[in-house]
Amino acid sequence: MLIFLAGIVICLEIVGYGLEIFSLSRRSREDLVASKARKSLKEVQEANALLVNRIKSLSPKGIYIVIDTAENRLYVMNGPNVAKEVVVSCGSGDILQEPGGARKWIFDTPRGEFSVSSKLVNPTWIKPDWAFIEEGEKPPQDYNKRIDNDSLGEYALGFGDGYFIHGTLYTRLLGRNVTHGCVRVGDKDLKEVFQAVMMGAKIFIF
Amino acid sequence: MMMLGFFAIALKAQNASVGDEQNKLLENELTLARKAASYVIINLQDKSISLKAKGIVLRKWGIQSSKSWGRPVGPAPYKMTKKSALSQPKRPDITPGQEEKKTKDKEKKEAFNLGVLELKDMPIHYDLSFDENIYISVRPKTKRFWPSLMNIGKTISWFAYLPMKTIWHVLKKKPFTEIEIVMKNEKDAQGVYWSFLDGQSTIIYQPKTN
Repeated sequence: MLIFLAGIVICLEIVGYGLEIFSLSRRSREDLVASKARKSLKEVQEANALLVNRIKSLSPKGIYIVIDTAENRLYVMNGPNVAKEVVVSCGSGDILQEPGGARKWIFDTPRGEFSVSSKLVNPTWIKPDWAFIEEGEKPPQDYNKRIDNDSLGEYALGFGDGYFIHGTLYTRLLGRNVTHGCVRVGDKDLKEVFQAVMMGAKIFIF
Repeated sequence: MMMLGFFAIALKAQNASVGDEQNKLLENELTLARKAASYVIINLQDKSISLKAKGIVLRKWGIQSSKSWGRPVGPAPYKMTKKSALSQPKRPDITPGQEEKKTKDKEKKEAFNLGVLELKDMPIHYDLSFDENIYISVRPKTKRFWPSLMNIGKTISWFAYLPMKTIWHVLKKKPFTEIEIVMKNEKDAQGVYWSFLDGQSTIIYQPKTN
């Protein structure tokens, strides 16, 4: 019985390999037919050079920021060159579920393409509900109780939806994924990044 | 002399063929660079995986080796539909009220487990599924025992399972493509897993003349 089953498996294997070889040879024949309709090498090279230039033209000009959330690194870029590399802290990926409620927060740093939408000196953090819930407290009705003047450091660069590149009290955690989605930067580096980047500058986060 | 002439013609034809494929790759990249926030180019000729946005390379990883089976893929944009791994990374849950204490503890301890999701938590063996029945299996080059054993298992599965899968897909009249990528190290494999998002636009460049 075992030999019989093994025989079937071997036969199926041979058929499978045969089908793969057959499709390979068919592909070669199709390539040969396609090659007759091909443009000349010079034409192709010219078209490719044009396409490379068109792709390059889409790249941001001047200063922009690239953030690597896996390595917790922020790069201030000047065209294709790295002007400054900074160790940062990005989102922790943790989940906070509101006890007895329907709300849920996932603390990821958003990924994609953004722009610097605000530049703030001595920024104030208006603590959102999750900041209280996380500490086991009820979110206050009084707006003044949400004001926090210490946590964001001396500068902040906003990039939409309440996300900022800002300072931190927890400098020993730089290089780790510990934030609620914002990007934390050490004080000295933060000042340099803040001064280098203009309003509207692109931020690429991955 | 005649032989040299034949070689020259064959070489020119091959160069034009490669140029044609690169042309398609660039055209598709231009389309993605215009509309997608970020996209990935898996270039099996250059042995690299590049995460790009607006034509700029955000991150590039080297490929140690690769092999493919089944229908070849053209350098067209595909959407990643699923990321699967034997042990998927799990997001930690926050217990309300415990965070303040935890943050203070974090400051105290130097070698610490923060209970967060980081690069080191990503799997090193995983599969990426794309539309049009394209599957990419990623594994790292490694010297560690268990990951090496897993690599051996993957190699056996490649040669034993794929012929069967071919028969199944021929019967279903649904051609498929299977690509195996070996990354240069475990961290690179984890980095690629981290960077691939659901629905990520990806161009797979698998030159026919390779």
